[in-house]
Amino acid sequence: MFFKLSSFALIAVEAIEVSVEVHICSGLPSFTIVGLPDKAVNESRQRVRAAIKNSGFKFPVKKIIINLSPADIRKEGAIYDLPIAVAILAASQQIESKAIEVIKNCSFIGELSLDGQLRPVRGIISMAEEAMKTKKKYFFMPIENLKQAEMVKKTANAGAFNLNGVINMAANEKIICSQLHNIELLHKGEDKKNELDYCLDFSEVKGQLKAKRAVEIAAAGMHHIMMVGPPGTGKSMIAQRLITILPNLTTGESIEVTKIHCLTKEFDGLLIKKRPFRNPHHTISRASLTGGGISPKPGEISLAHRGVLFLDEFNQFPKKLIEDLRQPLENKNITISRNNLHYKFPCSFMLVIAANPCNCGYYGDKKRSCRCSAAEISRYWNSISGPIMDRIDIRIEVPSLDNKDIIASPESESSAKIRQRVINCHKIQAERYKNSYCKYNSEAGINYINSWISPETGIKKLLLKMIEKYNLSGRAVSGLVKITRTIADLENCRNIKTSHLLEALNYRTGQIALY
Amino acid sequence: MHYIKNHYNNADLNKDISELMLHIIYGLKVTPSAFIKEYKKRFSDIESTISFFTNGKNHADRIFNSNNYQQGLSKKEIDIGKIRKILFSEDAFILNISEKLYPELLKQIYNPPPLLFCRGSKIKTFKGCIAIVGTRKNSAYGRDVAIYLSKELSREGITVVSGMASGIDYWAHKAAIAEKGGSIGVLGCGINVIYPHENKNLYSQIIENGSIITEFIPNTPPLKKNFPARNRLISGISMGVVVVEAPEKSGALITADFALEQNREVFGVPGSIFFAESQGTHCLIKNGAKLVCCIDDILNEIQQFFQVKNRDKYKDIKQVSTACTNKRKNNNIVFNNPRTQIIYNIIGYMPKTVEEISMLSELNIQEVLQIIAELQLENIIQEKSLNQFVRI
Repeated sequence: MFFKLSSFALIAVEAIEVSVEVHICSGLPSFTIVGLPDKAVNESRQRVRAAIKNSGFKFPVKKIIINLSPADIRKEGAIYDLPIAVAILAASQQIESKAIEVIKNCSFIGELSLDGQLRPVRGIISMAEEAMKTKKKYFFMPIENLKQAEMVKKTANAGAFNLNGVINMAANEKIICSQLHNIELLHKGEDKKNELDYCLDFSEVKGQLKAKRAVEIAAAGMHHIMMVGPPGTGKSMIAQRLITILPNLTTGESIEVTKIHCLTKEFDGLLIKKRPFRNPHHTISRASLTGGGISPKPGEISLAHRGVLFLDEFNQFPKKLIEDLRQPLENKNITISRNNLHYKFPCSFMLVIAANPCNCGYYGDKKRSCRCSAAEISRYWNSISGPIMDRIDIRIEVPSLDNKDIIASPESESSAKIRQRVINCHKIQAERYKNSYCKYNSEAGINYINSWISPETGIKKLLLKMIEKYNLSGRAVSGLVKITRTIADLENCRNIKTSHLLEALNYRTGQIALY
Repeated sequence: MHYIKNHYNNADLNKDISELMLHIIYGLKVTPSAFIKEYKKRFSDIESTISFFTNGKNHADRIFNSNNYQQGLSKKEIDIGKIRKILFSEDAFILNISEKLYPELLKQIYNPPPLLFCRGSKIKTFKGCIAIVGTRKNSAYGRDVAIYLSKELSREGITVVSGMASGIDYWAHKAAIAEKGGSIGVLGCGINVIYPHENKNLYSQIIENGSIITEFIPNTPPLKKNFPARNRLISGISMGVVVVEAPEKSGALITADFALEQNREVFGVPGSIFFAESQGTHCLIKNGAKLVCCIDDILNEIQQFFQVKNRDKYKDIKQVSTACTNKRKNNNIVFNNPRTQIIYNIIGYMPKTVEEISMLSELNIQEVLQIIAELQLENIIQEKSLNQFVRI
């Protein structure tokens, strides 16, 4: 007796359809799984046998062969328990024929416990998306996963508590429909809970006007930014508040981000609406920064997708790790190759770097003198990768301030106010790039940059003067123009003006930028 | 001396005497101070001095005085042939004390080096030298002072002398070379040893536009004890020593001490009373060094040595200081844009941060940044260190 139903395997963040085939024939009783299963999949034989028996069914005393195809992709985890159990029950004709007809067009995923209860699995969003693409009638999954799967609309997802529940639902489709209705109600309540509350606000940062302005520009155009300054001047404070001025994720982005995050253990099952802020310590391993492992998992750079990757004490990171960032910064994704499979994780993030100006930290400080020799300082800056620095558009200093300045400084703007400007700026950019591959000014190509420099307004003349004085490279000029564009967008100007270009120059040619 | 290639034709140098002196000092191991003593005793008659030492009878009279500055003399034998080879390959040459090219002022000090190892070309052209010395760990202020003084002195045709170290020395040399004034670097090591290594570029620049001198034989490492000896040459070759920035214990102060001993002018540049880097110079000023607040302070003092060209001569200190303040006042520029004017007025000669400028001008940060960028492009102001701006 043969039966076939569908399930999914995860490759990076994408799911592919896997068909679970079962063949039951007479012979010496045995239970074999073929099709490149890993240890956890192989162990599912024991769980399936127990779960079937404990759910009140009979486990067929025959020769059972399970095939997971395509057979050349490694199947991992305990997620195939449910499809295998259902396939065996269908093949041994313990389910009524009406239900079998339904099951044929459905997908299953889930881990079984010995008493037949279903346990949640990782990566459900990608699977639900794939189920939608392959036009399955229903997608059966553990009830805990249902909330996540519902993020992808247009699929009929069915969540069950146990194996019996799955069989009952298949036999009686009405149950599934009523469940869907309930879920929708559930979502409405949760949306309110998930509102943006960061407990941080930009108004808490006193002084550092230039740095704050630079961060606003960086957020508006998603430019990478580097902050250099002595210890304790507010670099980390500003960086942590950066997400509070970024707009919420759009629904599409939300799903993209949640898809990545649901592959990790700390994922709490809710749709992610805040932009992620990742702040890895400099002792991080290579695999956890870029992603990796035997079955590759997303690294910090992918977890920061559509958000901020903040590398504090940048120079403390091993040089090799930093060099690894080159390609992801350019391509906005990272491909990890394992056993003739390529795992592709998206990683379009905004890089924020904080560093001290030298080893002792006080180079150029007004009050404290630096203890480093000139050779030490140049060695320090040489250790920071040139190609990475080259990709950072905005480089600013965060100098130490007099305490009296901080007290006297006027009440600064709240995050909400700044966020409003940033949102407007993002809207302008969305309009500009609607037919393009890029999304933000920082990603704009050379054709855009050329079109922004209009010869009649004196921009070109000023730019040439800047190039001559500061000896700017080609990439520096394009970075400068991108920042200028963002400043103009913040002021809602159609064309860039000389005043915008002059301001932008400050973020590119400070003392630090010249290293 | 076959190893002199480009810079001097043979007529300029007395190669035979230099060769004999090499033999006496490094072959016969007569200490340089003993040689000089004898040389001075014989009223600077080099030939009789040489014959005194080379004459076999006088072996017993050889004086070994280890307390005097020894020129890297060690107990091990020095291969004169090897030295010659190095000098040849480095395109260096030897100046002995009897020569016309040997700096006149240096001849007058208590124990001038009998032999100077030199590289470069411009040693002949100097009108007179002023030494600019200071700490290796300078502040931004110290750097600016060194550059300013060095530039102005070079314009005046005065050669700037310094010790080729990092910090103030570096900036003094750098500015002098940029002004095409030429510069003399005095080393505390052999002529073929580059120390500190980051000054490698500076070496080649000085060789092109000035010269490097040392009393130490090639291959001498930069030992600690060499530097006080070098400092006596820095002050000895110069008409005066300007101490730009020096903490309380500094090699620059040793140079100043030598300058006093050698009857040279000592100048001190004041700094902030809160800066450790300026405590040494303040001490000097307290003890009678001349306070320098503009270039005329130096020029006025050294008029006795040479004619100051293209400059007004001042009779007393009062005139000098009024001239200085007038110059500062007249520097003010008038702008059409009132906002630019406000910002320009706020930015003075002491570094101010963007923060302060924004607060004092009550303009928002965007405007401040725009105007600052504009003024920087026009070379009216410049960034000193992190976010701090001053007028040029």
